[in-house]
Amino acid sequence: MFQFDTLSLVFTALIILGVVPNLFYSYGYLPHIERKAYYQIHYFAFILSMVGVVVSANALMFLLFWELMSLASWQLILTEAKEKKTLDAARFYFLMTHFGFVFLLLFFLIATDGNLELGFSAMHSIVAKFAYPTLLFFFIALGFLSKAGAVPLHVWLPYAHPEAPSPVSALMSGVMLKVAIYGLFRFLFDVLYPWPLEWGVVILVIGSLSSLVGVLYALSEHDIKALLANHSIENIGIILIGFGMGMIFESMGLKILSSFAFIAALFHTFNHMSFKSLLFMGAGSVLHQTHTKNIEKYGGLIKAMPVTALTFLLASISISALPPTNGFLSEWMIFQSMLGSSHLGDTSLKLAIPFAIFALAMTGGLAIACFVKAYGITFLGLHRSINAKHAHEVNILMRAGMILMALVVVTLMLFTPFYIDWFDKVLTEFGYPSVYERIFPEGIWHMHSVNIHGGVVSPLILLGALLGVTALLMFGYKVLDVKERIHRTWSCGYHASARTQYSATGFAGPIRRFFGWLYKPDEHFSRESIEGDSSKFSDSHYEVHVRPLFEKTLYQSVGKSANFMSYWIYRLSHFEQTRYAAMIFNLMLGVLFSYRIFAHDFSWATLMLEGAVMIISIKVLIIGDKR
Amino acid sequence: MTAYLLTIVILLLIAPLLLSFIKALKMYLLYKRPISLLQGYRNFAKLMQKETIISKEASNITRIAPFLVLAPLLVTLFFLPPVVHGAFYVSFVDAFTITGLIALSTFFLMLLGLDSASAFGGMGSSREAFIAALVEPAMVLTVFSVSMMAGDLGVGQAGVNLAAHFPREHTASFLFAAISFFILLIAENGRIPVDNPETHLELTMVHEAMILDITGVYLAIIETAASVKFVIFASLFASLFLPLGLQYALPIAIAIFVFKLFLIAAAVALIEVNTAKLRLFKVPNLLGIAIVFAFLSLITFYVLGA
Amino acid sequence: MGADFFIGLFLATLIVALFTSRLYRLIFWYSMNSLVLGILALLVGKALDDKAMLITGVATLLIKAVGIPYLLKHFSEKFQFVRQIQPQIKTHYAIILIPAILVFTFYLSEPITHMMQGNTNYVAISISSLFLSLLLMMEHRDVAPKIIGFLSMENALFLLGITATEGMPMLVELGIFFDLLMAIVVMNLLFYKEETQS
Repeated sequence: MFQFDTLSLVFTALIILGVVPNLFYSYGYLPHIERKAYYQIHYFAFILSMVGVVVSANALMFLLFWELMSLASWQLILTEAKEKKTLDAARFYFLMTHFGFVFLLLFFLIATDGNLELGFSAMHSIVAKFAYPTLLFFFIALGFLSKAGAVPLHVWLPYAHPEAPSPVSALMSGVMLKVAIYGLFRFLFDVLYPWPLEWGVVILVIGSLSSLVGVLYALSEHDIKALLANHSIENIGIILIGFGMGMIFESMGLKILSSFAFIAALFHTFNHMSFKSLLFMGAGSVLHQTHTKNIEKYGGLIKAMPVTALTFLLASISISALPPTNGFLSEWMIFQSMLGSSHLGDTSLKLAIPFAIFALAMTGGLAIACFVKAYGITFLGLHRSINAKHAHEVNILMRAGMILMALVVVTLMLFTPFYIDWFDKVLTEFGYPSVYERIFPEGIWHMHSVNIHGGVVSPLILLGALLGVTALLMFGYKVLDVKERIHRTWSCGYHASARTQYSATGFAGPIRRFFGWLYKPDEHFSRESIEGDSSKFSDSHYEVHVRPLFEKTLYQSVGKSANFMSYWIYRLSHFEQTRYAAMIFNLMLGVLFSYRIFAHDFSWATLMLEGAVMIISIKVLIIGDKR
Repeated sequence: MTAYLLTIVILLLIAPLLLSFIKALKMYLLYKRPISLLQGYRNFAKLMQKETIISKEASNITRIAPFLVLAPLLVTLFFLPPVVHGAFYVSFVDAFTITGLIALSTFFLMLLGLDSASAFGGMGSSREAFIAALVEPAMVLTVFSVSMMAGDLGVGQAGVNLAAHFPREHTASFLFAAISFFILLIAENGRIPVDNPETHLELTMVHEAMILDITGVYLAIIETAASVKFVIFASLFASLFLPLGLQYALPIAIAIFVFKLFLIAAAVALIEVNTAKLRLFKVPNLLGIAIVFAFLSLITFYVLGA
Repeated sequence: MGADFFIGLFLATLIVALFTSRLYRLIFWYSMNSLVLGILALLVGKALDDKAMLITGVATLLIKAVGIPYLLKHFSEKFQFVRQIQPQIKTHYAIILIPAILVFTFYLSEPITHMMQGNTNYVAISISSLFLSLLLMMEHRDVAPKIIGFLSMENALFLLGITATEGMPMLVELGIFFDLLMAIVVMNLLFYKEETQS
């Protein structure tokens, strides 16, 4: 019924690390909740079901605990079901999680040939004889990735996670998404082995897209929990990039590089659990005190809530992948695993992987912008509303929870070699060679990557150097005994007031404008002018809303497609000359590509890649922008 | 070891000199009487004697952020490629680490800007976030592709490899990486055409806006950080893209290196005099060129081996 | 080695030309492009000791790097061309499209490069320059940038000729000069139309 091999134990450890601080936080939050018994029953059911999922040994147990986990989390979202928004989010979550469940059930029915009490290794022999393993791969992918929140099945995440009570959001975003990743690990390693190259490429592409989409929508949000939820999508994307690279290397027979990539993905899983839980707990504390989720109403909370601010700062630095934190280390490992592909022979891989490297580098920069906005507008500056003015530090249980989680983050940063050793043991059980010796050949100070160009990083030395230099500078400042005076902010001679500060919408303004082609925001700007003069106004109101792209296209496109087709048939006959030249260009490209695919040599990867290029060039050159 | 420490000390000392040199050259080219080259040091000394004024609206972040802006850059100084053969260099730093350290410094600078609760600070932080989001991918891609061409991902080792054996078969990718890195040098250090370092109009400020509200020793620290950042970028450019002169004896090698730094500073001054500052929403065009070239250098190395 | 550097410069000037929004800048980058091409032709001619190549190189330098830009500037002043030429493709699309085009032309020219024994990379870069000049032609609305795009296509074909074959067979040269002739005829026609319109 239950199994306790290393993978299960490692994920159980992850759940425990995520749950223990959350218990403290949850009990501190409990006075704020009305239906206490209801909440506690479902909370513990949720935790126990997650542990049950990772230790199940056969299909029936797995499905039982998986469904229990989904139902418990659904009920937890409905704990404070006062607004229509909450009910809608819960309904959406229920639909999406059962959509995934159907695919999982199909997978298990095929893989166990009807007998759901079969263990996983018995399933492997059944699947090996199955004629269409790619179908099973898609079932698993749809099932687990809809729970993990990867593009394009991520639409429910920014609605469901914010509506739950804060400790539950931390658990859902921090731990439940990782349980879905566990499912991917378990069934791809135990049952659907070996993998063709295409599966790894599919996961890599999904990961790259998720990371970009997640961070871009996080930047446009002004509800702090939705911002963090979108960010989870980005980090799941990064985990999938590492996972996909591992699968790609494995299908080319490069076991050592593959092992390194999987260790990187596992490490990022742990890291994300730690800092995302901490961020949600911090956001929950702020919400608890100010009774609003809107970032625009926060400001200046660092003076009233120093512990929350400090832990939130630590988590922000970590999630932005800045040295010497643990987030930096896992992204470094994922970069190294992508760069290890430079000596591969397959050309289509060589073309796709630089795009993935570019996507990961881009998300790094955008994540920094996002978290400066989140931290700065929430905690720094002046109070932007009365809610923020009357906030004070949260009670000791909630503080204890946040401090414990911050300690988990710090241990991940300082004791990296021990965690890497565990992950290495996980992979050796699946038949991989042990790479621990190659990662830490000189003891715990330097971490090596295993590719031929040999990258090295030393987190402990970096941390020590940074702390040392900062301490030296501050000591120097003390020694100089500089006079200090407190006065108002200069602001060019004006008084700095809460209304003249930058707002979150303003902060993200340039980025929102640059990515306007993706966001297509609706903006409303109204002002009351004085005596009809358009340049003087007494009151103005600016609102901007971003509707997520995937929701618009996948869920509302039925009515629009008919309009669309008729419009384009009309435009086809009224193009300008440039468009016709572009059409000829695309036809030429199409002919060359088809020659290559159909007459030269065929591979799915090439087909997908060339299809993507055709779509990009048609979109850019022929369709262009809307008038 | 002595060469290593001597290089670091020299880099720290000439940092203000380089920035004053750029300013003096610009003034000379504009037919004005140039400022003295020691002006950077004089400013530093003057600021160290002033009292610090901390605003009521700011929090403890303003007290610790200036140190955290300077510390990562000082640590990076220890990780640069060596200037002479046989010198000690650190092997555990690669492109992502150096970009990360510089990004850490920028992170705290942006927080400093938001902390002062003035509109200028927020505006500077917002624009800096926009520019940094576009600069970071280009920098990671550029330095990674140069390191891979040099055969080792560690920046120090890459510098030594390039000086010993310049990979002539990869000249094209090298050229693309050089163009991209030069554009990044201009963007990250806040020179025209991305940001005007001498302005005090909010229309044209990015870096200056974030530090509008600090003074005294804190301002001295942040100005030192800006000059150290320029020295870091210039010496990375000099070691990776102009890898000449490492084979001579120590004093000559250091002299050649310092000469290369001044050459880069002169190039920056010439560009500043001949270009106008770009509108903020035209900056992505310029950074787009940098990103395309960085990506191009990675691709030509990966696919063509050129 | 020297050729590597100049081919890189060739591609670099072409890509920078794709991003500009002013006509005189575009002409400047085109003349830089032709200058690099001329230097390349001279280098290859010296290495192969081919008199014809040397003469072509000098001719390229004189005509394409100096003559044609001067002529274009003269025309633009005479016919009052629009000097603000905004690319129709937005920057963010261009950042994705240009690397995609490069990557795919490298990929497409793989069968060709397998056939050659010489400098395979140069052929790939010449073919991608060809496609990029086509993009240059497509991305602007006005006449003058289109002409410059056409001329850059000439340069790319010339580069392809130099690098693919050792030296330049007479046939290819003639073909290119015929194209140039066509270009001048077309230019005249278009300018005549511009003149009658304005």
